[in-house]
Amino acid sequence: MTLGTDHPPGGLVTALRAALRAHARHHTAAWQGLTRFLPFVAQRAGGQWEPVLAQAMERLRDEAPDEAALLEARFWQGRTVQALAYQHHLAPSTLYARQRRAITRLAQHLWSLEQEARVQAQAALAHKCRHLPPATYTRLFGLAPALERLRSWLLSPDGPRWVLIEGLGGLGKTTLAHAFAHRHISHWDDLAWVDAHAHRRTWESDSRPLDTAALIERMAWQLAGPTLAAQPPQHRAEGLRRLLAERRVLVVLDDLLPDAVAPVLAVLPPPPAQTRFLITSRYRYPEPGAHLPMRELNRADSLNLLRAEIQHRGLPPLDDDALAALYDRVGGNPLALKLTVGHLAFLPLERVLEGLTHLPTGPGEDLFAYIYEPLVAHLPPDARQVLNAMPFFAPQGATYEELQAFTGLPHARLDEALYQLMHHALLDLDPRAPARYFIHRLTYVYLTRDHRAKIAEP
Amino acid sequence: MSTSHATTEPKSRNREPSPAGRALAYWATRIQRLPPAAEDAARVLAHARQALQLAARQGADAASLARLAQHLHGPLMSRGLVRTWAHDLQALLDLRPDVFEHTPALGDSLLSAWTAAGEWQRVQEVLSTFQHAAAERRPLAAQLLHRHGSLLWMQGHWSAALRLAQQAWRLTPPELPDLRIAITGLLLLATWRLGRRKHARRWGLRGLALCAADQHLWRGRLHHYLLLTALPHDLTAASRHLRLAEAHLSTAQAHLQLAHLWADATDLYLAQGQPDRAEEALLRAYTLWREIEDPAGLADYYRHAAVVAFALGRTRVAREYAAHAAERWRALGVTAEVRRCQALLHGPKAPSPNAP
Repeated sequence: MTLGTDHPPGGLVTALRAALRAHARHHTAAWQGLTRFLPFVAQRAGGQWEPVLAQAMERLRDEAPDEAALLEARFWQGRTVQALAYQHHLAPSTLYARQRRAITRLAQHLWSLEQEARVQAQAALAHKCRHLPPATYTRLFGLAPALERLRSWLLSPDGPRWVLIEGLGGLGKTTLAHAFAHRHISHWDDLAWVDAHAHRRTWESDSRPLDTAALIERMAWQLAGPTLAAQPPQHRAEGLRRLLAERRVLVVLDDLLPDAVAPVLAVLPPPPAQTRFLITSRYRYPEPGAHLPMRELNRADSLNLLRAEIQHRGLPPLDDDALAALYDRVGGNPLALKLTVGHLAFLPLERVLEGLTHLPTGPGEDLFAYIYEPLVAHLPPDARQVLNAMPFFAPQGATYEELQAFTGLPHARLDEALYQLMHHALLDLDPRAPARYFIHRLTYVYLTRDHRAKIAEP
Repeated sequence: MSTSHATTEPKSRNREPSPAGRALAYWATRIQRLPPAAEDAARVLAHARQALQLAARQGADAASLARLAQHLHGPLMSRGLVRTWAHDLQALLDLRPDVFEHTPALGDSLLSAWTAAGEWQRVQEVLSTFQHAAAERRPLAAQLLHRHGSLLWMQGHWSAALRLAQQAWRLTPPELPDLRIAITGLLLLATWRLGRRKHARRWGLRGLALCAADQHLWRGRLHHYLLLTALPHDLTAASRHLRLAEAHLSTAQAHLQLAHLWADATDLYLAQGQPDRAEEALLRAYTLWREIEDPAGLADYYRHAAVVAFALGRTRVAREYAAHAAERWRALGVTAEVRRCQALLHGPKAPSPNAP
């Protein structure tokens, strides 16, 4: 028998001893004290601890039959230490020592069962998350009230069957849906995440919206595989509706057009089915229902974001008045705030505020160009070379080796260039293997616009 | 001290290539060295497509653009990214026609991409774009005739397809064996559809004789077509062709052709009394066709699925499959296929799916 590599926590042995004594005295809730130490086993057992103890005792019996027999006699048959010591011609103190050893060993077996249950639970969780796209955030700002509202709507058996998150691009609709799905994944039997657009994976390609039949096919594919998805359309829709009625599924439909909402909702079964649709859209859907509008960050959340960004970039902290002055000039758009912090890497606060006083009031992109220009102008030559290379990589980003081969910069100079770009908030790193450096879409738009000539490499 | 030291010095620091030029050269080399089963192939191809599109917009030179496009064609087509690639190449043609003037073979690449994506209206448009240029160049004219013939074959105009294939064959010089092999494939398919099985087999064998040992893609395709000519009478030969086609196409990593092969293999499995195997092969084909959103492939899937469902006695669902297949073929404007689906719907029993 192989035990888990980790040792059981000390408290487990004490709790097990107390539980065994309570069990010997026929207490009904004898094992409940173990829940704190064995949460995954408890969840799997669903309150039925006897089979769990039986399994652990079975393993103990295989390893040390004498110790298993001793525990059985003491805590299941209720025999006293004196009686057993007399039977085995041992001193009571010797028997107590053996009992201590047996309880420790039993705790080890319970701990290995906990490790196994944890691995199984993690595998089940990973299976449920198989369609969840990777997170694009490390910390969330200003989403707590929206997350709470989604929780109260979608986790309630009597809540609305679908919720629509509405708002302009870049305000965090997909992030909100992702955070909700990830946070409450255990509530659902399964999760489907359907991007309502077919993407062609490059900055230059357009994405086109999928039609209703394709959306239903993708849902069927994710939840039941080819056996359902490959059915003729009517059969497929009926099969999907049945599946959604039988199971508790969260279906996220990301970036749906208003015209597609009603046809897609036709496959959502009525109560008492517990399946819920969470839809994000850039447009308003006129029909009544659970609508959640997204807006820019408020003052407090914007200041928190600024603080976090300043700390992340290793810049000296700013007092609240300075942060408020930045917010007053830039507003609550998360990306604009982040880029503004990049200015602080090379300009004193007074100069940054002065520059932001004359922000253009035209379309949003001009604001970003205005913010980008000083950032790019202050870059050293190597950093400009790397930045100029970035648009020639697809949006998912380039590996270190690719950037090195592409730019021909030696390691030390490339390292410094990457540091500079990240320090100025012009580049981000996706740490998932293989780690990749990537730019934001607006950075791409800025770099490939006409004024790109202004940042020619020296 | 090495005497070659001086030659390794850069010739001029003022002639550094632009980022677009660097990108085109870098990705062309990278794709050339890309192993067929590389794990990050999809990522590399996406980067190269991005570089091609942006460099074209930024006015990179036609030769470099054409070189990268030529390197991209094979890997993208064999991975089933036909629609994506057709859109990219079409965008390149619209933005930079000079690239296609520099390398006329790219016109054929664009035609093959639209054809594989089942966008026959687009094929027609591109054919007319290149017709004028082709008049003066014999091999290009043969290539376009072949493409046009393929289009007509897919639209169900088999006699016309045969005529064009024969013309293309006469125009193609022996120095272009690849084009000759492709034309034998079309000749095989057209004669088979017209019920001339012996002729079809002969063209298939002739094509195989023209193939080099390592031309796995074409060997696989021709064995696939020979499988069709062997059905439904010679099941032994059909099995042999299926085995060989699968081996060659797998070696060539030709996923798109494999999907077509699996769909056609259902007819063999049904003839051998193995409906479960037929169903399994069909689902494999569906999995690929849905991924690449191939309209003709999916329409073909639904027709095959109807045949298999009829064979399994699932009449209601079989009729739904057949009706949906007919609808899809009608949307594509292929009346011959619509008629085959209607025959499934209205006939007393399911006819042989490969009846010409």
